[in-house]
Amino acid sequence: MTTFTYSLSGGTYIIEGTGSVQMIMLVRSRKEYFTDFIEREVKVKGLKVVVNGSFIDLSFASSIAVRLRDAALDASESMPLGEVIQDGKLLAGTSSTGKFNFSQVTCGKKFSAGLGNPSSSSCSAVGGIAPIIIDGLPYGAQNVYKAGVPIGAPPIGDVDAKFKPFLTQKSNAMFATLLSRGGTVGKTSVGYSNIKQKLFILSQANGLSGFDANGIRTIFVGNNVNNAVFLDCSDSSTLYYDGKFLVRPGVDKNEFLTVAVGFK
Amino acid sequence: MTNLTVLLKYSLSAGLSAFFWLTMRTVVSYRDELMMSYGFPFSCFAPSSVSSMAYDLAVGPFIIDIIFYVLICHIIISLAIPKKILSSRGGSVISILLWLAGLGSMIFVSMAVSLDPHFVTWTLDSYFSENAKRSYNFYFGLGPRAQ
Repeated sequence: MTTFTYSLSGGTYIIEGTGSVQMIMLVRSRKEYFTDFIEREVKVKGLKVVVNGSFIDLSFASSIAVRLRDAALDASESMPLGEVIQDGKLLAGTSSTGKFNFSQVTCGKKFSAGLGNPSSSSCSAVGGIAPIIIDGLPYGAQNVYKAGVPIGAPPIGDVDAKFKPFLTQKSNAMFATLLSRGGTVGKTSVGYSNIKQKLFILSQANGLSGFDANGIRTIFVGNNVNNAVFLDCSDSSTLYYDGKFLVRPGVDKNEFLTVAVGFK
Repeated sequence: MTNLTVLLKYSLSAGLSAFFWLTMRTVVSYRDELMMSYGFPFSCFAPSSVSSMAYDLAVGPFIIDIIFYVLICHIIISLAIPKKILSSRGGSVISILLWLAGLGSMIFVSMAVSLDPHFVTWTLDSYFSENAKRSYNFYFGLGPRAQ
């Protein structure tokens, strides 16, 4: 039995999923708008919630075509960054070792997140994304340490073993960049609490006032979330819930976004 | 042919073309993280890690870079190309081609970068400390790609 509930807080939609929530990766393969693709997949796969997924790269010519034409880009022209895995198979995407992944190792069980590519045997996973909380450690614009940390602890970047016991927040460039964009930039994030056995899906439309990256992290921390990540943000943010779109992508993004993450 | 005529006929368009085709790629890295930005002498645009096909554009460096390129082109054209060639009919044809190339490059890059732009006044890499390692290399081609 799976249950999803919905609330709106500070411009951010918060979907909570309990029970045997299953994550299903969706990769567009036809020449169709991203929102049309989601609506079609929802019906086929019986999904309750869908958000946008991986970052997408375009060739220079394709990016100009998106600006010039008012039509969906052929799916083959969109190149997902980071691996997209479903049922132990690589559906799309490229290796993205310096970034993070969010995965469901066993279908219908708990979710996890980590640095680098997801496990190739995952039930479902998405890579190439930014961290919020990884194995209980919050991420932010700077490294933060407990009192008593030895001199020389780096303010940003990788932390040597001798400083790690004092680390309470790890820095990340992607997180810092998103934080610098403030509360009005669109955001899509997912997180999972092992204690509550609950999945949290947060989405905010681009251009509306809402929480900044730190505020999103606070929501996850307040809900005892162990692992959380940002997916593609800004006007890529998309949220489909219970039969309708609560957040729609920008007009241009709708033409070339390709990877969505569904839940049921 | 006056300096102003050379500037309007050749230097501006040549500077624009050069700015969009030949630039410097700066890679800033600190420990396990890095970012790339483009522009010379200052980095003025960079792929953003916030979203797909998003770019950060630094307005101050962008203006300075354009002025720098136009100035360098003006000096090169004024010193290296005889006035007789510049004022000939062939020179006018070259001027038209340069303007087509310059404006065309500007329009195409603007279209690509404007998919999801974000403007800042000056600094693109404020996350990285002064201790970050910086490497520089030439980059030839129209517009930067995603990171």
